[in-house]
Amino acid sequence: MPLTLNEVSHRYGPGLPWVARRVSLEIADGETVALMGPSGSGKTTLLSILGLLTRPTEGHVLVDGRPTVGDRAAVALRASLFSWVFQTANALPRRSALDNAALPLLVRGVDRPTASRIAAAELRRLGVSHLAARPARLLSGGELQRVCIGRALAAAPRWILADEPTGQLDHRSTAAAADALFLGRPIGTGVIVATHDPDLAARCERVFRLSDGCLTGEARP
Amino acid sequence: MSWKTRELINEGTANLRGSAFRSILLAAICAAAFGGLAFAEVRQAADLSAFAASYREAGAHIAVVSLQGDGIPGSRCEALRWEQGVIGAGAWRSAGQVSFASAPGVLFQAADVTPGILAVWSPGERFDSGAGVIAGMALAAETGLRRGLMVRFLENEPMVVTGVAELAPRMPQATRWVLGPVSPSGFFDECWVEFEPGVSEAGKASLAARFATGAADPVVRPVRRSDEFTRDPAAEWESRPQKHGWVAVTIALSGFIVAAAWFRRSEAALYMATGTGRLELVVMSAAEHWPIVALGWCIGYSYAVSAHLSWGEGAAMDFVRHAAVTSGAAAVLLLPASACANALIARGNIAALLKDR
Repeated sequence: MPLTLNEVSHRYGPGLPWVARRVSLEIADGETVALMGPSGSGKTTLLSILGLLTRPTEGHVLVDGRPTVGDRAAVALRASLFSWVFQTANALPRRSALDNAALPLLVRGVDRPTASRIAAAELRRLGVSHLAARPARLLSGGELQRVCIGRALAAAPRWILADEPTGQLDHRSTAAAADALFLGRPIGTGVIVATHDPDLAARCERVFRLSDGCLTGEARP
Repeated sequence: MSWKTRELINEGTANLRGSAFRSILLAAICAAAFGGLAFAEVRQAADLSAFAASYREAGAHIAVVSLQGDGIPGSRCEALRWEQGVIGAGAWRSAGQVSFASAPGVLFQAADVTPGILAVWSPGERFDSGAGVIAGMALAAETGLRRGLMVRFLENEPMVVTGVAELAPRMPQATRWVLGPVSPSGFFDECWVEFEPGVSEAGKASLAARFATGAADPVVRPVRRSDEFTRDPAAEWESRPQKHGWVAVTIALSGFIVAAAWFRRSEAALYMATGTGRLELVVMSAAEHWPIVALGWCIGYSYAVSAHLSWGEGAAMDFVRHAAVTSGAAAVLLLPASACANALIARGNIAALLKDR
């Protein structure tokens, strides 16, 4: 069942410019999609609308054909459907890598021993199990991004939303992160990535191009 | 599909442990604020209590009744001792002047006193009720009199000194007197009545009626004029700054905690982005902040009481309780504010909050 944007427009306040204009698209379960466009084209806004972090000023976000209405519903859907990988790796800086990776599982009601076991396995798969006990603030950017990818994968969500996930990584780390994201994801998990990176976009099944908040094209690499 | 409550609490306490420096700093700030409040309360209570005690010791609640003509009936005066709200009552009359056989040229004032008046003039001291005389402190110092000595007055039998009384605070002129305890029958010059502080004014007002005879109006005078002391302990206690200071302390500490949460708003946003609801943030924040507030209060309150004790004064239960209630009220009021801290700052666009670091 798809994740759908129906005539979605958004601006961050009355009188401010529109950052998304009448965008309609549909993303199927398990599909990998890239949102591409220059800076300020509205990629991140569209991603946060898709992930129910931002409520659109106009239009609707539909999950499985049903509109998402109300904050409480959005909170529940965020917990059950999505995992995030951000450009600047957002983590709890004073908590261990393992605690960070286990977070989405705890939010979903998994008890801590089970969540920690699953998260530890994910960190091991990503080659960062030796960092599990280290506080996130002491990790390098590449290490932390891999932990955050581990956090996203551990929850086995329906969609992983990634906002410039490789934007601050060197070439080697970029390849490792992209492999983890696209090759390491659970079966059935889709990836929606906002990126400037054509190599990363090329890994996706579909690419939506954005300009000035408008959807200007769709391609299949 | 949401957090298990136990895990939510564990998450809050894990954040508490993870941010050890921040937690210790917040606990120290809470301890300083609660302790300062408790210390101010206990100090002021002690200060006012000491003043009230000195005021009382100086005779603030004593009235003196005199009556022209025959004088005051001693038995009626003594009977007041047993009434509610009366601490002590007794009468005295002048017994002329006496000389010791050993120093015939020196005259001393003598007075007959009923048993009750010694408790008013010299509270806290006990005197033998048997036959004998009681010497004022100044007289004893001048003549070397002390308890148990036999003295001989001119034209009188020898008598034993049954006590030496400190009379200066309440009846300074009697410090050189020789007091002879007598039965309350007959009439006396004055009746002294000490009331409990709460009923002092009403008691004084009722005295004239009690001794009215129809022939003459009794004269009632206070031992201490009401304007002799410029402080009013009750009014000072009611208008003390810290009476409402606990609200200010709570507001200030809430500000600190919310400000501390503000610097971690991207973390709150991360919790929300992963599907944590506001109510769950409240529970998590409570689990993180309540131990800090509780620890801060315990430390601050303990230090306040210890500091007061080290000042060299005892801490009456009333003072300690007042300090506990005032600082405790601030701590209790801080609990909801601290629980809501994360939910309060995690407002607006979550995506924007995630970038605020």
